[in-house]
Amino acid sequence: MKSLKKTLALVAVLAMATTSLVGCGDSSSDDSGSDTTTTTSAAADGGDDATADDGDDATADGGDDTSDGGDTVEASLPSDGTNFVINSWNDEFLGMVKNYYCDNGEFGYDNGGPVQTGATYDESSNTITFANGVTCAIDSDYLIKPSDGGAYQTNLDQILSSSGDLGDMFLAEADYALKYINNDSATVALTEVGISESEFANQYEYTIQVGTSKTDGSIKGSSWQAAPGLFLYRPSLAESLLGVTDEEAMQEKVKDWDTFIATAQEVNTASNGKVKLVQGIQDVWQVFRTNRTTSWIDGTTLAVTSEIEDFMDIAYQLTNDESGDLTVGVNQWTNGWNSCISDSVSEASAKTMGSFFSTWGIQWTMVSNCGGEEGEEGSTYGDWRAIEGPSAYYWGGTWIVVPPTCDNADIAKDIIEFFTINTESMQWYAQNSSDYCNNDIAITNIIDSGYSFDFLGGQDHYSLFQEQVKNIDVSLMTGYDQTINSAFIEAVNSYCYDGTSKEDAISSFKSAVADQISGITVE
Amino acid sequence: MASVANSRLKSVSYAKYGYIFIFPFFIAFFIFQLYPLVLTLYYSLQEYTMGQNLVTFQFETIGPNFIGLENFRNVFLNASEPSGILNAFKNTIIMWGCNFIPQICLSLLCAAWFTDKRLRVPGQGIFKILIFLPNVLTASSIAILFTSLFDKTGIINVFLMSQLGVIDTQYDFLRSTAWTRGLVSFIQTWMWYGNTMISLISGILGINESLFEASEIDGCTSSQTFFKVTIPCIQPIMVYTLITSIIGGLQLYDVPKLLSTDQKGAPGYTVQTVTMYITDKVFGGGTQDYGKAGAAATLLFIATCILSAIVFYILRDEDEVAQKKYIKKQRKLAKQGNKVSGGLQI
Amino acid sequence: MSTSAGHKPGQGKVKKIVIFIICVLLSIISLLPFWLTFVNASRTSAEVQSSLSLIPGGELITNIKAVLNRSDLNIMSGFKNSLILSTAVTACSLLFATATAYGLTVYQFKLRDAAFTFIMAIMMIPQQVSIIGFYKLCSNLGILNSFAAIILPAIAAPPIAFYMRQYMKGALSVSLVEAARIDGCNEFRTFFTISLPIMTPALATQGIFAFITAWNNYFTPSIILTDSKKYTLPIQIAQMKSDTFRTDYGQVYAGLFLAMLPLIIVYILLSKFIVEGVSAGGVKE
Repeated sequence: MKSLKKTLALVAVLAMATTSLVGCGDSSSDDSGSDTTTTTSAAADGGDDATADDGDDATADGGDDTSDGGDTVEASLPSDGTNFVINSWNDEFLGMVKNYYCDNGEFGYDNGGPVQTGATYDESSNTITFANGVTCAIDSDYLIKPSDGGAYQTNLDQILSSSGDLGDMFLAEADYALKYINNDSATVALTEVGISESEFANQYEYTIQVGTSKTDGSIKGSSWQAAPGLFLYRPSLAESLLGVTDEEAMQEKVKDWDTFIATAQEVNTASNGKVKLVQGIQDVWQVFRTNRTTSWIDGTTLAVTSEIEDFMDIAYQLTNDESGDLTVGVNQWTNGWNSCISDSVSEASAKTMGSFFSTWGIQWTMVSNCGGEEGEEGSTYGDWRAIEGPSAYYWGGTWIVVPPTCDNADIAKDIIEFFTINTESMQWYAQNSSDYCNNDIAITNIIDSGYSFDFLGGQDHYSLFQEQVKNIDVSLMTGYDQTINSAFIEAVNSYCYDGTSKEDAISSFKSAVADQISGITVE
Repeated sequence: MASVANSRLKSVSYAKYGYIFIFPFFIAFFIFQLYPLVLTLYYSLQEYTMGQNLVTFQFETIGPNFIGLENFRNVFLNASEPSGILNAFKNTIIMWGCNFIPQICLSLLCAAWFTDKRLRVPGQGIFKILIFLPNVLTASSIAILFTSLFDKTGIINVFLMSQLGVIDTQYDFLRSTAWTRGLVSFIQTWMWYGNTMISLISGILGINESLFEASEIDGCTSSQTFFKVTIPCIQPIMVYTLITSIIGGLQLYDVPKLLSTDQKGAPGYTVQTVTMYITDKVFGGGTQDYGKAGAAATLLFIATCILSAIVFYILRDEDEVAQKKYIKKQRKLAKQGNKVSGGLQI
Repeated sequence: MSTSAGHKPGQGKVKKIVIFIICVLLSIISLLPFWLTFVNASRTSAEVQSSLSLIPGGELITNIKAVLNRSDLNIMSGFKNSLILSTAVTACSLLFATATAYGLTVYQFKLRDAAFTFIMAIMMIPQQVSIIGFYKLCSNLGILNSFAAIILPAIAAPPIAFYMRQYMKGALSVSLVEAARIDGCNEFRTFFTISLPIMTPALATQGIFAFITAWNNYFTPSIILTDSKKYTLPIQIAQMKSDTFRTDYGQVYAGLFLAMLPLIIVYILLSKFIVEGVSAGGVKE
């Protein structure tokens, strides 16, 4: 045990050293440079915390020395559980824990990772064992309920309304994160697991804003990724269809919605309907919705403002142009939507020249669906460029939250720090996964080290993201966004494609929402 | 054999064993079927919701508080909107009707052919097996298969455009109400007409042979025999098929849910069925409204009850007459399949 | 038609040929979707998207392997779950339905007729009607997301009990039971050793149907089972509709193919039994 502690102390020191170096490197470019010491303390905490075996009070004594002003908080939730239970809607986070957090993971400490956590993953029993001996048997402790049609939320709500045992940690997506973050029986302030609020200094403002409870202002959710979005387009098609050869010129062609529609017409006509500027109206909505000035729910009333009608007009123009549908006409997450990114669509079906995606969408969705490796037939790998598009937006993001039933506060704290606070581990994670981590210093480091992404033909899209992320405004989020958005998209679809009048579509949308959310007023 | 069919089952003075044998069944029934049903009916009269409060953001459970028929009023408040309950009933009935009519015609036709002694269709054993085949398949996989086929970028569009060249832009089948409903009905027909056919065949085979012989002697054509003898004789079975099919049709869920692109009845809720409506109120991602769902379920229950009462009536009438006949037939089967315990044939 | 063989037989022949052709067409319609599934399961995603074909490609094994290796969809576990559930449901419903039928046939007791009438009356009430209450019940009992919530209700299967009772009335003689009793068999032993063997044909027919119905059940499991590791095959297939982040048409069809294959094999092996069983009066879904 002693030798382990020694090793870990050494790691902590090393970690601190690296962070300080890193901090020096970018202090000029980053206005939060003065906070680097705080980061350091956080990093040290993160590295150090693994020594907190069995919840003894060894926590943070390494970190205390360096953390001037970094107020440490005592965890008020217990650390006496025997197994660590996580609720999620897919196994993405599980993969992160296995591959990065566990020392023996593919990118874990043993394989070059910067932070030793003491956690290991055993393949034969499919179990993660944490530094203090607590286990997470994946078959029984990592609970997955897909988010399809709201099933994940329904499941959480059901647990809340019956036993209330939400385990030790669960994940929430942007669309409904607020629903749980604002709910005191679902989530606790992260100070209760021992994470002080000053530790969040390097996170992007908007992610903290989402993670902050509206009821008492405490930080209750922490995200490992920021999700600013960009407009992606294919330079080869831009050149052949629009005669556009560089990114600036392309940006000029989609700088606002009017030019966007005009360009969409141009693309459609020039390609004879075989290429469209965007996949579907749902993608346009994804961008448009973050730029509204009012949220869906105003008090207790469903707000169908003129902005909403403006969007319906844009959607109508895009889908009912004289020359036909200017979009591929597919809904998000359908097979058609996925496949029109590649070149291997049949001659008959249209493919897309452009696509709105945020950080994770490029790594996950686009790369997976572009049709294969670079140079492979039908693949569009490498034939994409990122530009700002009509407006700044965000799309998605996942927040880690801790329910009041958590009885492994030490592990929850350590995992949250590892993925959302500690600059070293986050930078390492971002470099190896191409995810856009929620730590501006780590991102700056990556950009400074000469980042380029061959899917985008060697472009450094992190810089663009870094520009965009500052413009993200999440004040319009409500906890019911997922429910309302999906009803809205159906209404817009029926307006654009079924010949339903705008009034009927809106009234049908209102009644669908009223049917779904009790207590909401629709006029 | 006849002695068995006619033997009066004598009572044994072991009455308590009777209760013991039927006990597990009834206890499970009361717990898992009757109680949930009563609970559902009870909820229909209660205000009972769970969800986030729009003002305080807290998750809250309201109720159950008795509110009389308020839930029914709420259900009918937006009833005529596309997503409302009246439309859900309407959609269900349309899709059922478009399935049942072709289904009964097709299965009657096949049943008539396969039982026609003069016709003797070659290979009818194989045909019966093939026609029945879709019935054993998972409805959800059929729905997904059809979604992939009729997807906007699916194979049917590819075929129509690049191989046949009959259309020049993709047609979004699943955005068309007629097509989506049509596909649901087609899948239902395709999956069930084999089943109906087999029941009708067994009905026809149960008709007294001499009736057919007599009609043949009288010089009836096949179709005359079919309409004048077969149809009247299998009327009870057809009514039974009709009612069970309506009851089954009212529960329609898997296929329309999976075939609609948003799983809520797209395009524009026109394939939302009653069952989808009920589940959506609790499992749809919004406020869990047990009262409203309960009210909708109560309406469905009433409809089912009325139909069940009819089946009950038919079955009871036929109980002594028809059942004996088929038990006789079953005994033949039993004899074949039961060679091991052959000594039991008294 | 106007051959010397006579008008009537010639017409009959034409009619026979027409009917035969129609039957062949109907059979093709029955088989076409599977054939399409199979063909597309054996082609690459690009091939699937470029043309409709009825000739299989060479990628079947590749696609199947890819589906089995997917991290977001564990088909093998779905298969296992479906198998466990369907077997348990079938066993429960058969055993207790037969026991109920036995109780109603062999013994004379006060509530006998009432009990039978009751079974007939409730036979048609589907689970959809009471799903809300059922869900709440499971939640109160703490058996949400457990197989128990699917298996235990199967103990009461009114249509099977009804069928078994009708069958037993004709097949089992009370004198046989009395004889066993004289030989010193107790009531339960009589049930297991005398009546169950007699019921074998009925058990087989109903068993096959109960199994297929349980295997294909999507509604209840999709509402009760909330953890993807407990998902049955139909739920997993439904998930393929909205692929989480990646679409490969070849894989989608390969997944469907894998899901259909066991049913088709079972059907081919038991088709005679199944088709005969339907005529014995199964209740529709």
